[in-house]
Amino acid sequence: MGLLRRRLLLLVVVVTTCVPASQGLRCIQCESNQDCLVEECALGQDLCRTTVLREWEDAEELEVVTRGCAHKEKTNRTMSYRMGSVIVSLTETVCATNLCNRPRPGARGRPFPRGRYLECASCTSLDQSCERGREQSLQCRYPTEHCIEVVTLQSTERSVKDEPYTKGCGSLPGCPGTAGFHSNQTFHFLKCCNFTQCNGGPVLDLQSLPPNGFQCYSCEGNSTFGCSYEETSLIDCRGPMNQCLEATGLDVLGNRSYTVRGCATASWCQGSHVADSFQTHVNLSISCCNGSGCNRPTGGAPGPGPAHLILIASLLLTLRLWGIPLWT
Amino acid sequence: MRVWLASLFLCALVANSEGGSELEASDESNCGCQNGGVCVSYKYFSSIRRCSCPKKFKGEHCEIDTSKTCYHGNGQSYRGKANTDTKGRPCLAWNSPAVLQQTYNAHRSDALSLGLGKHNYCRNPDNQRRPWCYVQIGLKQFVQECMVQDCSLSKKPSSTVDQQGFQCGQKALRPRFKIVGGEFTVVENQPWFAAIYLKNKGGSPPSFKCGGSLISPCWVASATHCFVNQPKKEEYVVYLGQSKRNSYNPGEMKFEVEQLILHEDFSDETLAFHNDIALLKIRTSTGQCAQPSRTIQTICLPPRFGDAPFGSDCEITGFGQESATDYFYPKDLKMSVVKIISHEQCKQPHYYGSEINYKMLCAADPEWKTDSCSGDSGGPLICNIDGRPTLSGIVSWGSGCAEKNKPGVYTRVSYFLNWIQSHIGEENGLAF
Repeated sequence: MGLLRRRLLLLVVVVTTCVPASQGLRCIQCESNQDCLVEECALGQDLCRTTVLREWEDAEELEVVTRGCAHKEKTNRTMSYRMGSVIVSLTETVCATNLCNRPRPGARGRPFPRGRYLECASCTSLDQSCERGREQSLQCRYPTEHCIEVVTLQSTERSVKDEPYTKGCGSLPGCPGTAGFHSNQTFHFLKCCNFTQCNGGPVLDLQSLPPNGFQCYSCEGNSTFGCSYEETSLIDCRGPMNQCLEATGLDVLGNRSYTVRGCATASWCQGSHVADSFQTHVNLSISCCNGSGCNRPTGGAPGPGPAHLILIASLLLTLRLWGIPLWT
Repeated sequence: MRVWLASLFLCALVANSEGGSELEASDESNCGCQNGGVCVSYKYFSSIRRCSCPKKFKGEHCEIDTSKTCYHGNGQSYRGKANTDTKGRPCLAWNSPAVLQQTYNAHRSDALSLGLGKHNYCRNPDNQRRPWCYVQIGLKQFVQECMVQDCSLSKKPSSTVDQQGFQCGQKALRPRFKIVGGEFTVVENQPWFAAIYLKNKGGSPPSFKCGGSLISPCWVASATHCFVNQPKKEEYVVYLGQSKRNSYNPGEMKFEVEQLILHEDFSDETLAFHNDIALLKIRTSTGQCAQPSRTIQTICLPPRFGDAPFGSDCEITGFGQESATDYFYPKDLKMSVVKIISHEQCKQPHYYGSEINYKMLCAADPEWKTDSCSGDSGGPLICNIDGRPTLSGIVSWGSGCAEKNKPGVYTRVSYFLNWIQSHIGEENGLAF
């Protein structure tokens, strides 16, 4: 452990020396194998996070911890659910100062309180227990938790997928209440309630939500593929999703623009849900409007984007570095 | 000037480090799940991923095979759960602080391929003679060989694992031993339950005849009294994986009866049925035996004369009548909890008197509210023995249903193990 601390200290010194003028947040970054290093957070990532996954089965427990930077909309949250004889629990905590998510030796996390809290229905798509109506009962572990139902239906092909349906206990953004978004291709929904077994019943199907009279434009992609003028279509909004949403961000890996349009509940307009559901994007710009079709894509030329600003900043930094030896 | 050059050099190092991190990020789009585990992500929880493991596997990457109780060769590929040395001392976890300073530990870059992880199970990462682990002795850690058997030395395969991937007594739902009055259930709760139908002439659907229990992939145990009046095997068809009678159930399997064995000493001359046990060898139209699934599993057999203690809670399951006067059998599978009654009590004159012998078990609801009934014949009486669901009885006979002082009477399976074995054979994957 001492060795690890020295390595961390060295890395801290290195980072400080390399970029003395930087204002970016610095966080510990760990994957599940516990190799940790210091990470300079990207623009729009103003928080450090610690994410813990635990599984219990009979008397055995499995724990996985990851750490890193998080988008500024991230909040503390918990979720747990049952799959057969396994209970899965996730917690995430965020903080806002440099290296505040460092592991604390000996801090095992406080033991679960013994009080009896809410009892919720629980199931998961992994064993089709949600789809088959075979819910089990799950005792919540924290007084702040609600009964939750999470729906994640995406037609885009991803190598890693969320489970379409999960029910259990949780404290998530939007609790208590409902929050949802749908486009032609995607349906996200969170139902969060606080009386016993209130999340029971059949899984939520978008088609079972009645049209609410509003129409919005729907697309996912960028302005040339997926969200071009021709590919954007008008759809009927359903259920409580009566706002037209447009969200644009940068794909972290490819540094390309990505846009999502569709119908949303008002809570989706505050940023957290979009950031959670499209995790690989930074610098999210979100707008909502009330009139039918009001999130129509504009045909105008794009203004100077974040990429340009990054280029200018890099150029200035380079010039400054070149300038130093001349003065010496 | 030198200071700034050094800074540039260090910046390059950091840049490389970040670049590497990015590559790792793309590599980890897959969790590295093994053994058919499914990689799951969580949109509300940043970048955490989880392997959801199939049955018998666990661990962060589903790398631990909980069914392995012995090793092959020198155990280099052993991934079971043995975790003590040959003297019974507990192994240290491969990620414990003391072991992290040893050559072989959970944080090596090749730890996963060597079987090392957040556990203390024995492994053979360095190609030694057999699986080993670190053991704390005093203030030091020592390499110690483990208490785990060489597969080639075991005379018989593990007694809990059937052929063809079955593991007896496993079910997807948790045991429910506190049901009063009986309630409808699903076959996942009783995945060994077999529904036996009598074929009808003229093409009409077969009629439900009796229940049964899958005791090995090819064999169903039931009651002889179900078949004595029509003893031809061709007249019957067997379904596994049914929650509803005479309906299609997703996951169900249909079998012909290849062999129907009735107990040669069966007798029904008195009120009681004696030696009321039968065996059906099942086979699909394509010649297969049962295949394991969520709705189809084998049930364990009891130890010889090893029954649950009197007063134990046990489960009965069937499609039978809810009372003696019901004229329509329910479509849904039903399950109840009953208690084992001692032979002495069951032989009381106001119970069944001399009709009861040691080849039978009696069980009843203490308030006489729930019982097996007509149509439940042949079905299972399941008791927990040594922590495993076990076929303790076969629904056989009774006076009325849930009648006071008239418990259900079951064929005592633990008495008939020799008979079962003589017909099925020792090498047919019986699960004791």
